[in-house]
Amino acid sequence: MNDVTGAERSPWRRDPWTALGAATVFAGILMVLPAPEPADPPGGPLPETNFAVVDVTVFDGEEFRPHRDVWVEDGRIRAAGQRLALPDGLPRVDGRGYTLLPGLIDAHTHTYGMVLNDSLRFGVTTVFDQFTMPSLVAAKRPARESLARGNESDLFSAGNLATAPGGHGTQFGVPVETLTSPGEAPAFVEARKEEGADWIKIVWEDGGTFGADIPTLDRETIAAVIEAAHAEELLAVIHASTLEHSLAALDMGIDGFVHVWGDEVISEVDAARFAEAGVFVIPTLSVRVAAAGESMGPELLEATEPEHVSPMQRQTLTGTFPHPVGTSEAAVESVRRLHAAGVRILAGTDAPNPGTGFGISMHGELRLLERAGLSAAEALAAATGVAADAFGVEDRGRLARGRIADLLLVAGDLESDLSRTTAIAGVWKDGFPVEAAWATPQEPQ
Amino acid sequence: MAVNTARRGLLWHVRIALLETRFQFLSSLRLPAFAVPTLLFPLFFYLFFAVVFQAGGPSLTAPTYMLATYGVFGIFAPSIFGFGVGLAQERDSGALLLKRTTPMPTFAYLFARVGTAAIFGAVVVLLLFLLAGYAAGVELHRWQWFALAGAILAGVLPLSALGLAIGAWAKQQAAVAVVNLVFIAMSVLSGLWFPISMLPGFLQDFANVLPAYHLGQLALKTIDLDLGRPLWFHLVLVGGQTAICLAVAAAGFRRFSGR
Repeated sequence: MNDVTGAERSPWRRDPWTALGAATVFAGILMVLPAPEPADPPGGPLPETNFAVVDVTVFDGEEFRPHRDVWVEDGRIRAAGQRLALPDGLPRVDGRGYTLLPGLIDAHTHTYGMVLNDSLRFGVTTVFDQFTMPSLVAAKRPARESLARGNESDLFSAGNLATAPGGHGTQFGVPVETLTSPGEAPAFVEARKEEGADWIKIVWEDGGTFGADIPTLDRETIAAVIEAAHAEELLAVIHASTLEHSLAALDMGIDGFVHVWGDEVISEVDAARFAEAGVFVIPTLSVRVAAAGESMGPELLEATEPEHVSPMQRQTLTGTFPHPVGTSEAAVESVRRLHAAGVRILAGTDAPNPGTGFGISMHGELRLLERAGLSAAEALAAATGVAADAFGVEDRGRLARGRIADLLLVAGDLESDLSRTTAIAGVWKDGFPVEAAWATPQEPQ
Repeated sequence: MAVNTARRGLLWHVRIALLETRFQFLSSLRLPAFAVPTLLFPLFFYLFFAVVFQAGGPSLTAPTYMLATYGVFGIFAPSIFGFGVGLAQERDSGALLLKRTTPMPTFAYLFARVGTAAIFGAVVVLLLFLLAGYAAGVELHRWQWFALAGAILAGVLPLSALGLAIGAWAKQQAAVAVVNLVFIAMSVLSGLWFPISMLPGFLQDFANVLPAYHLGQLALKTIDLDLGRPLWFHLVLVGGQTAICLAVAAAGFRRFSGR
């Protein structure tokens, strides 16, 4: 032991320095180990076509997945997952503190004019239209089949709706093909398919709930249209404004409901029947609350930068129904029971009815669905994955490999605060970033 | 002795602790049966499962995940064997009694054991990190390299306490078997060899009583790959488990001293 403790060469004196030196070498190696390429925060111009959003919380169409990388290549999602092996030099958006979700799908709109541009700015990259002019559907079809740069949401539509002469849907000055008897149903449906309708929408509305008396299809004709649609392998969805009519349509084999009725609350037994039949419901609570004089409009305008809202969005959003009736409580309660029974719920707004706005109202619909008992993930699924599945639309509604790169990036954690969907930090359509502010001059109406 | 035992300032304590660590480290290094497997086991595991099997894959999740778990595995052996086997040997051979007759304070002995485990651990961590960074393609933010290294190396303390508890009670011959059993079983059941999520549910629940499980989760937390339990949950449990180990060890020493 003598030689180690006595002399100047003793480790006794050198040990502290040896330890310090070893620690320095250790830290020095940690300083040079490979680090990821720097990623830009979403504040500046967003990359296009080929890029990655890294370390972001992903909502994939079903659930939240924290710390994911999403790699976009040529307008589609090349890969999504944890810690992707990304190529050198690929532009990267730093997703920390943000949530990335598939572009939203509004499952109930009526399209005209510049509205597909309005929708897109608010992250609604696909709309399921429930009645518009077939010529418009045909005109917009190429865009949805292409990954080229565009400034509009993609349109899927029922086109011309199935209603009686003088019935609901014929009052807007748009020419509407009507029918009156079961025998006309096969030819009617075939004509819609020829026009490019993606599904068949049927109207069963006698005006009773708002004190009117308007012509409507009879039960036999409705049943025949459903049957004809199924024969053509098309979905049949229905506008039915009472619980009684809705239950009758259920028995006729309808596939989905484009509104929730507002007259009475569904029983748990009947909700279970809906679930068993496997139908979906698009409650359109946005228009239900607006019809009751409780529009989400003011709340949404409050949450949004004014320059993002087009004059038309502002106009319809601040509009009111001429005679507000009842409350929305029964409708919300019915949605709660349907959801609890396991019925598929889809988010749709019925824009541009008074009190709703294209695109922007989807953010209100999410809040309303949450009010009806859906979790943040379930509400977002209603606006993405569940909607795409219900209408059999592929490549959309999910953030997964091979899907179209229609993406919405919002600041914050949606799982804990769903109202943050309005904190839009970026929208990509087919991999191209969308101009955030409303900039296009309004079309003359 | 040339050391002036009367001047016992801070520097004296530092120096004697480091000196004892040097000797402890050298004696461990000269015991190939300890040093070689300790250094090579985790590196070989990582090389096979994280580098060779995962080469060219689309995701770096697996090699990144395994960096944390094999890192904790890498410090497990030096920590638990140093105290668990080394202490039992020194006590039963009388070496511990001899040491206690020297002016060296007890803390220096403990420090040296922990320090030796930490040095071996640091070498394993560095080699694993180099393998991960340059062979497996793992990329971490600069702070994450430091946080991961820190989280792994901090595990030396609880695992040394576990070794201390075993070494204080087990006889020399039994200690090797007991430590090996605890080491292997706990490594597997804590998710250090393969992800804990691959174990059946009741075993995942059982893992909560294992300090190595919490150390694995704490290391994984620095790279966002943990199971999502809060930080305090793991800290409180591993802290409590360490306290229990120290209490068990203290009881064992009292028995030894009173003999």
